[in-house]
Amino acid sequence: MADEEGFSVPTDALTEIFLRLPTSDRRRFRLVCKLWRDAIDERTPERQVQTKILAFISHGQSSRAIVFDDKDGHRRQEAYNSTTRGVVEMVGTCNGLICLHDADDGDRSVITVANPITGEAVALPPPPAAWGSLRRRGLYAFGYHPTTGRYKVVHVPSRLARRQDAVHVLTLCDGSPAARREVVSPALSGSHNAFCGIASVDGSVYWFTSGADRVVALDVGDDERVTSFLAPPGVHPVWVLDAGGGEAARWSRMYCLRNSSSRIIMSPHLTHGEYVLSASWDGDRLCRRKLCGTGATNGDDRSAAPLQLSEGAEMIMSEETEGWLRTFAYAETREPLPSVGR
Amino acid sequence: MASAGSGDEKAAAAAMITLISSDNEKFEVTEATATLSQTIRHMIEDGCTDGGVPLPNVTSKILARVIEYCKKHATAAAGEEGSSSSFSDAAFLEVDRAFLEELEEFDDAFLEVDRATLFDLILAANYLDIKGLLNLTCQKVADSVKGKTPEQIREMYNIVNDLTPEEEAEIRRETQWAFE
Repeated sequence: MADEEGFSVPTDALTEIFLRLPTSDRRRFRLVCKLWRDAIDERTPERQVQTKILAFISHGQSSRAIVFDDKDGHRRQEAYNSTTRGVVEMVGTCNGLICLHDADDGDRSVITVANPITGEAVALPPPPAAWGSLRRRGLYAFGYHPTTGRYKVVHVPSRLARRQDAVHVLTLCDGSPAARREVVSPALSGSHNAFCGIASVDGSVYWFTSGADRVVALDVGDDERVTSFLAPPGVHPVWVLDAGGGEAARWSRMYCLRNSSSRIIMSPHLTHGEYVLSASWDGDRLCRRKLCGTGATNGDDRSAAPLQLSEGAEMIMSEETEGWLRTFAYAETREPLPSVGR
Repeated sequence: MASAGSGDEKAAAAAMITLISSDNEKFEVTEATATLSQTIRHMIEDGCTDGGVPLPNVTSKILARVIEYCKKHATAAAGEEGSSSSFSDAAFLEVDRAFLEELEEFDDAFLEVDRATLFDLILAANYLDIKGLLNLTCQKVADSVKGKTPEQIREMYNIVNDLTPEEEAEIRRETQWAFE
């Protein structure tokens, strides 16, 4: 009886098990019980290694990723050279893996998933010709589904695409080449709003319709379900979507950003810990400003005390970038790549 | 029994170590097999293996499985060393690949055990500090919980949720994506 009771391993071994899980699993497993929460908090890098700021500068045929270390101000730089004679752009990051898209203005387009820490990289096979060329147009997202454990790259085609009610999904599978699927749904019609971007959160990918009045959500689980719902009113406050399984989506106002004309708020990841990232218009200076106020700390009523930005900005990067600067929240990991490891 | 201090490599390779399980069963293994365990390796280096190595935390049933693993992997380690000198030899590489596949099959079959045995193997691998075995068994458990919800895990492993509602709320707040 005793041997079937509980998860009977010492904390050392429990830690070994946790270290072999994706960071998203570890984060979720803090909810199992006190022992698990404490082991994850104290014995795994989950809490110590907070996500770092990754600034990606797309420029010419050589793009750069710069990872900032909070503690000692140290930063690490990695170059990504284009193999298509085009530009390498960063699609996104999940669990410490980064997804890059290398494309020229013509037909050449290569999507790669890499772990900069282990140096592993895998190029996805090119999409079928029937999709039309994926190329640079449209929106790309890199998503991870927590219950299937699969990584997917989602492409929302541009207005010029063959059909407007379809998106393309590339799945990275263990041991087999990436599966490719075209998802067609009436909820997809109406194209997308390129200005609003695309977000990949907790097993779903979200983007705005061209009129920015609705948000489309694609579940990146096995059935690739599409839903759509009303977009939040207003633009300046930062609205946080409480998806809760997609059925009962609910917006709440998280904080208010009063933007000055001299800087742009960074995307796609604008917050980093207690800071909000912004850059000068030319993209040469990257700053962070602290959020103050208690904000969403108690209960559901987040609108009660919206967070504000502090006045003083702290410069974290100043150099000529000459490219397109974007920021990501990046967690370093040794997790093997899905199609390489087991 | 083992004649430590012999400079002759052949003699060292053939040296035998006696492991004694918690239920007092004795297992004779070669030093090459035993030293897959860092714990035993250190004991050998310190010269305290005469008269056998008592392992009060490991039952004979589990120790037999652990030795089975170590024997197989000790041969693999010896094979790797041997082949590195003739790296250019295609026939050798072919043999290597076949052997690695066989090893993988062995590992897969080795993991076909009930949950209690799997946890006992983890305990033994942890105590004996056998890196490969710990990796193998922990990965198996990690794969079984990967992608599951906290509720599913509690049900699977009969874990009682002892977090207070306040603690739960705090954890949920901390995992909010916007503040990642």
